[in-house]
Amino acid sequence: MNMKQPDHTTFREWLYLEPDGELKAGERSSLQQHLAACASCRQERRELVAFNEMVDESKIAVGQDFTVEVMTGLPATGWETRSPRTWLAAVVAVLLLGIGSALLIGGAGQEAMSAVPIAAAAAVWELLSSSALAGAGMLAASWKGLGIAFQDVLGQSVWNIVAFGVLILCLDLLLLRYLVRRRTADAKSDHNQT
Amino acid sequence: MPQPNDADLVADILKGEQERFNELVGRYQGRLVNYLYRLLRSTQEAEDLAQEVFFKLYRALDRYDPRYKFSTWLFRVAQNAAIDQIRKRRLVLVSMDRQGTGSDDMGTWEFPSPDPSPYRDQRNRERGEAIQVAIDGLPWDYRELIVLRHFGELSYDEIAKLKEMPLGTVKNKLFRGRQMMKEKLQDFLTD
Repeated sequence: MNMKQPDHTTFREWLYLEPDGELKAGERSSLQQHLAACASCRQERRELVAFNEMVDESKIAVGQDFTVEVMTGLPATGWETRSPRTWLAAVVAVLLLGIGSALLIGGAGQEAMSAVPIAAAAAVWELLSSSALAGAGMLAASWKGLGIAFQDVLGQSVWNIVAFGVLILCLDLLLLRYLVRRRTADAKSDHNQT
Repeated sequence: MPQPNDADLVADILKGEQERFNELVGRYQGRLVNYLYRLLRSTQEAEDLAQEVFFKLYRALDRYDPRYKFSTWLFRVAQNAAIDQIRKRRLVLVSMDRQGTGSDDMGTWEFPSPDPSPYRDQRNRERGEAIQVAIDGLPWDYRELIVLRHFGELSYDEIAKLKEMPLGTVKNKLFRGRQMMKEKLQDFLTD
């Protein structure tokens, strides 16, 4: 079967596709044959080569610190906190802290060294329980303080309670609106990716 | 040793090797900044926006689908960010002169950038500015494709996927866009 020979306009279009690697082998060889016989296409090709060079030369250089700036400015992400490596680092830090504490408390003697694992576990437990206790204390104190403040303000009149109720309702609505918008934006972003 | 592909790098980063994100940044920073520079005409704005784009991608990295090319995703985010930036500029411009028509045509946003030229020597400055004038003279849909191909260095196939256009349309528009640019740059091409 004879393939239809492309016309001059098609060869013109192929001239533009060739440097981008968008021509098949057969098309490339047809184009070469056409170029050998067509002076205007040869001229067009010279101009195209000059055009591509001019475009390449016009590219700007990126600032030297660009990568460093991006890497130091990376935001915290949800997936990062779920990463096993993040948890592993925290666990290792706590263990090292515990062992260090046990060594300090128990001294560096032989007797103390034999009790290191137990002492380490005890030290970690002490550390965690004191942290939890301190946190709970702070929380309780904050809530108590807030309670006293609210009692002082709201206890003045019924209108204060009504105004407070309206404020809470508005905040709830705002939060709800934010969540709905965020969900829509996420869905849109997922759709765009595909 | 062969270079890991983009999808492998993303997988490594998600496993906890966050520092490998700099390899992705290194791969795409030049193309991205040049792409944004040709749309925004300000080196500073282009670099700032490129950083924002990388931050956006990093935040959403766990939603990357490796069945699709990373470059297509990156330039889609960049394209949306550039359009938002242009619209913001236009709002400022309209509110400054109060002559705006309210049209959403992206072809009407241009105004001279206050940035100094990023080119060091006179010859490159002239040629770089001539290229910019030729790009700015293109209709918006041609301009987008030309900038994606020549400065974003995306393949025809990637552009077709990004713009959700048939491959034939991409080829045709790039052909016409380049011809239009060549006509405007004729003095530089026949030296």
